[in-house]
Amino acid sequence: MDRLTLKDNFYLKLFFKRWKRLLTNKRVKFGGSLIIGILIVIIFAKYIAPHSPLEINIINRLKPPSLKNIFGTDSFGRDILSRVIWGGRISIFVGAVSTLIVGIFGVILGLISGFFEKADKIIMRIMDGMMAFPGIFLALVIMAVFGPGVYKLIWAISIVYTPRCVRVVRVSVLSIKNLEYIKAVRCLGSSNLRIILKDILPNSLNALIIQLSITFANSILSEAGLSFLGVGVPPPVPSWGNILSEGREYISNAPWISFFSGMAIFITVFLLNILGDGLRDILDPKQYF
Amino acid sequence: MLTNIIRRIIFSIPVIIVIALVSFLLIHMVPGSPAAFILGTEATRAQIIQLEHEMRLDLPLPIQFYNWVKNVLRGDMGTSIFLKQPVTEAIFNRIGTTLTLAIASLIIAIIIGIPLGILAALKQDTIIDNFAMSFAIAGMSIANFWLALNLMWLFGVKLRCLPVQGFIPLTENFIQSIKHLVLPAFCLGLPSGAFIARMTRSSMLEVIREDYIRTAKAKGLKNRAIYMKHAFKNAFLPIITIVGMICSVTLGGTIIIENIFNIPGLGKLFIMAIQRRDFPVIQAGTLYMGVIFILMNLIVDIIYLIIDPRIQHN
Repeated sequence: MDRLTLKDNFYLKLFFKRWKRLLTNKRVKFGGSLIIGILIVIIFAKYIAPHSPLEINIINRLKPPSLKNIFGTDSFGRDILSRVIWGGRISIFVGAVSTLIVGIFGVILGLISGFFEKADKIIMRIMDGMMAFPGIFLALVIMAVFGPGVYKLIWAISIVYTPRCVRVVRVSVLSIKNLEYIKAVRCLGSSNLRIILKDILPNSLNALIIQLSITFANSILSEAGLSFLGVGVPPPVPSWGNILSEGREYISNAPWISFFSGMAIFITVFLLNILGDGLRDILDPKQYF
Repeated sequence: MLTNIIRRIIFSIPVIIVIALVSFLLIHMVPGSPAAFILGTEATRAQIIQLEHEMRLDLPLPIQFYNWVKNVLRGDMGTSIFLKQPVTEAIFNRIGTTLTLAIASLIIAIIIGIPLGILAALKQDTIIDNFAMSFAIAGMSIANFWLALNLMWLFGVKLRCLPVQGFIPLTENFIQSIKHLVLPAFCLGLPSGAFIARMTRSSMLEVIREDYIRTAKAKGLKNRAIYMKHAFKNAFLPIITIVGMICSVTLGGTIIIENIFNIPGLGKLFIMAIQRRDFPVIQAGTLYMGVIFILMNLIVDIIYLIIDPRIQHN
């Protein structure tokens, strides 16, 4: 087991080896660099946002975009640009943490399911059952049952997207586990755990990375959808979804509220999807669609 | 072939059981009890106990589940607390509206997706391909409610040429009905169309590298005959496999789209049920969504078996 730890930086080496190859792809460079740009903006929101996202200024309400408020103001006179920048923090945080949780459970359940046939039957029936519901609907019901809140939202989104990730990891495990080199290491006396962690997991990573980039994009869309329906991130804390939801009431006289928050969602998700496509091009050229 | 079909049907039974369990249990996982969930935070303990008794929520869970399944199989899904109407009836009244919207959106998705995908594949790696695929990624990335709001603003507020609220059945006034349908169906269909375009492109690309396409070219067939008759027919098969997924996305989408455009369909019913804690309707809705998905996949599998003779060997 000691050789499985980061002592020989096994995963780290693997990561850098792939990283170099990734940077040769146009889509990865384009999507990746702009996403890093967005991340920088939301991390330094405090210095970049011109106003406070919660600062109410009733005299200045529902003002169209101008030099003072580049994206206009909402019904409380709050600056939309600042709200969109700060809202990005919540939206991307929800997306990122959900993706992380999906990744962790997806790997664990996927590896178990792919490797052990008996567990496979039970796990996959449950996953199939969960995947039968439209994602947004399942998340909506979960949120309705457990009530609103950022952390509940993260769990709801994670529950919705985990089955898809489990399936992807499982399929890649199934395609690897009967190959000769796995039989060889088994003959050499490797334990199941060692085979899973050292021989199977690294080979499932490609599929996992692609799936997680899609999950990230979908999580951000789900956050927006749920907050839009009023069961996601509770106001006044801004998130892209709830700014959009507020903007809905003023669509005829202040369309800029929903326009700019929706644009932020669109650009981020678009870039993530481009990045995902680029990753697919490199890591799994056969499956491109 | 018949045994294959029967096998598929049997395979879907465990999944339907899981769906039924999820639909049933989700509402029972609510902190407190379903009765407290219905009555809200201001209810007294006595009220909760009384409602629990009335709705037989004080029975042990397995017995409740048994009763619920028994009733569902008889077509009785309980009575909506808010509408004071049997749930089956409430769903039945609205299913036509949702189906009309869903089918209209699928037609739009196909009109957008298939030509775009074929064009991109035939002009691979040209500007046309890049443009078509960027459009497809954009279509997948756009939040349909944001698209809906923007189109409502453009056509409803600025141009004032399309109605942005409500629904008129096709049989009542065809032209008005179509006018009401265009925007919601487009918003609902665009993501699916984008998905179909990507699938069509990749599947066409695979097919046009096959030997029989080269043979057809060598025979001197016109390009149009080769691509439309030989290539597309075969490329279409993998596209059918994503129909189940597209139905799921479309059904999920109706929830938000019906809500925005104020269309009195199932999506609106379920949102209302969720907001008003009408749990028989939530339960029925969950079951309905899951079962439709399984049925769609089953139908797709059977169609696949019928039209693609190669599958029968395994």
